[in-house]
Amino acid sequence: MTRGRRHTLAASVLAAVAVTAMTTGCATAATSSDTAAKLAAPAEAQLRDRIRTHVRDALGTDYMADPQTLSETGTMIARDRRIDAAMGRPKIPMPDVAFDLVLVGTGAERLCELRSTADDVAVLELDEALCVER
Amino acid sequence: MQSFTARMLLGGAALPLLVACGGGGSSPAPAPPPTVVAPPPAPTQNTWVQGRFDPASQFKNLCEFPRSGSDAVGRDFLDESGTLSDELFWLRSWSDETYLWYDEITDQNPNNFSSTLSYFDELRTTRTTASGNPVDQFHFTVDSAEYLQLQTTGSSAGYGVEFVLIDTLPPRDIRVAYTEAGGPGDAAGFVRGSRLLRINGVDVVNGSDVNTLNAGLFPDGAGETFTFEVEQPDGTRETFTVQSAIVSENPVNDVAVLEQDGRTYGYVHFTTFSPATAEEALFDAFDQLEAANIDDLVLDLRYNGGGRLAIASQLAYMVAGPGPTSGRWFETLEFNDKAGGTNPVTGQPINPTPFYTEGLGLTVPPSRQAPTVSKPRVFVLTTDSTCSASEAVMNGLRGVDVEVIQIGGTTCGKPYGFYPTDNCGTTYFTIQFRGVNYKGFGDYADGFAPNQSPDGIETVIPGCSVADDFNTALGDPSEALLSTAITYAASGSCDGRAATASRYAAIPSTADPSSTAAQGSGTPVQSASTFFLADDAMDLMSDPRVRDRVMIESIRILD
Repeated sequence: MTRGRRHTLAASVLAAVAVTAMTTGCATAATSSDTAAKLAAPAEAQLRDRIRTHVRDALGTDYMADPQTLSETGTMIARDRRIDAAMGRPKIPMPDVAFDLVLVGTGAERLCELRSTADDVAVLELDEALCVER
Repeated sequence: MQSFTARMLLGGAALPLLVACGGGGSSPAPAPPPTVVAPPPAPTQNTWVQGRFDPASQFKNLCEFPRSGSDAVGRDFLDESGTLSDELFWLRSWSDETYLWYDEITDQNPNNFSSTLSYFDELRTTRTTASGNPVDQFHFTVDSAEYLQLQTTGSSAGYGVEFVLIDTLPPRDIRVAYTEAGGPGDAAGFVRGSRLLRINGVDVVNGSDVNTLNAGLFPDGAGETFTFEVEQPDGTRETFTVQSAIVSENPVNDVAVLEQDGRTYGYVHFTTFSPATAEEALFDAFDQLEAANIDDLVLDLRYNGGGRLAIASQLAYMVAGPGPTSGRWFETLEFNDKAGGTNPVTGQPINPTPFYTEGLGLTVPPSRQAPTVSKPRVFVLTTDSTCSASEAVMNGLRGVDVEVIQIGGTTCGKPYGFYPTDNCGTTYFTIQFRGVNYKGFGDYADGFAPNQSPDGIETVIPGCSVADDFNTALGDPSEALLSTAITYAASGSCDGRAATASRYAAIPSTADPSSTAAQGSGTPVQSASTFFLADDAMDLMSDPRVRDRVMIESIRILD
């Protein structure tokens, strides 16, 4: 099995779980009630895994990000790993992609969203309890 | 193996809720239709005990999705049926055994990770250098099939143009460092200093279509056509349409003897330590310089991204001669403190790389003695494109007390290396060794920086900080770095009158013997050059001197 197929499978599994577990399918567009947030505590391994997987699925494996900055500033920058440079073929790096955490919705539907400032990058929805207002 | 079966939690609550609904911007992409698939069968997990590591060999090639058959070069896959947990535990043990800073990895339960890539990201030091950069900037993975293709096909296509990425973020500054005489780029009109404005209509300076820019700068193969708009050094704008081709490489771009105030200076512009071509070119160049009985040597490594370490050793010998090098070695590989005298990857004894005094058999037979100018000091011209094997030359010479005087910019800082290692279809790159000189120094992750008052800091080298001079041909005595080297050699100072050296016509540029600079006119010349191809690093496997010591592919992080 190729690597690509594995990724496809993983994405499919994630999508299936999302469909069964979520009541709202998509993040809403930014509204005035959205509140800038940050992680309430340094991310545990599983949460870091989720965030890194999200970045990789959204942007590709050439990008890397440090989820720990989300507990410090509520923001995270995904950067080109510069694999090409390390392997002797330096190229123009892909542009940085910024993410930030936002608390959205109210009551039982309140969520913490990891949003990107780039177009067409999916939103990662987290449990509200993981986040606090900035 | 110390594993037992346990059911892996795959319940919905335990997994991320990832919904691909587009970004938070004003025009989100439409949501893809939900795809419901049956959950995979429950795999097994290994048991994690903090601080206790089973041998990586116990988990090697146990794959969640084993490959069958053979790879593109006919090697059979060794994969066996395993689990994600097996792959994660292999990464954990392998990192503990071979990562240079293994004791700075926080040991976490691998079973908490849903992918090898996410877990691998955590198997590294988070320490930073004095300048604030991560100590480990070379921790990454590549799909093994892709990596093999990269290794076997190389990237020899281009335009015969060396591009320098001065600023890679907008506003970008990308220039031509030099061109290969007679190559497509030279014929089209690229010259040293040409500043790129557009590629196929995409704005080089501020454009966001990086893929098009990279495709134009680094074509995948011959026969690809791109249109470049450039600003020439004289301010004029020109547009070229250029087709990529396979362009032959000239590692010694220029060798010359310069004269000023009764002193003679040997000048060598050396662009790659490629095993395919560099050895013979260096021998020929130093044959000329040895015969010329020069007073000082100027080694122009400003665009040399590295290559074979054994050739770096040869070059160091050609500079220093037998006096300071005999009975000493050039560089040795230093692994983590578990290694002792054994390479933890190969299991072979660690032997230092000697100063090679004769041909390696790459392109020069072992029967040919290396020429040498036998100088107690050398001027090295540098930029941040001066990497790895080039830095090893500087460090290796300093290790045997040859005075290195650095003129130019801070080097890139790549003293580390790794053995790319495949497991289950992914090739992992984790830093496993550093090269240290005869004095045991190898900590130059921030590069070597020139300074007139180095204050004893190992990475600050006597010399002068000078910006690259794109308005003057390489090898022209009035070019800023070369001129400063000559001035410094005469006065010991970075300041002073500009060099007015003339070039001996007796030893013209090897690549462009009819150049006007070779005749001493001072007119900028179209310096001949190598094409853009960063040699793919130290491949000890092909080095006959070390093949018996290193049994698997090794890469020095260079280039």
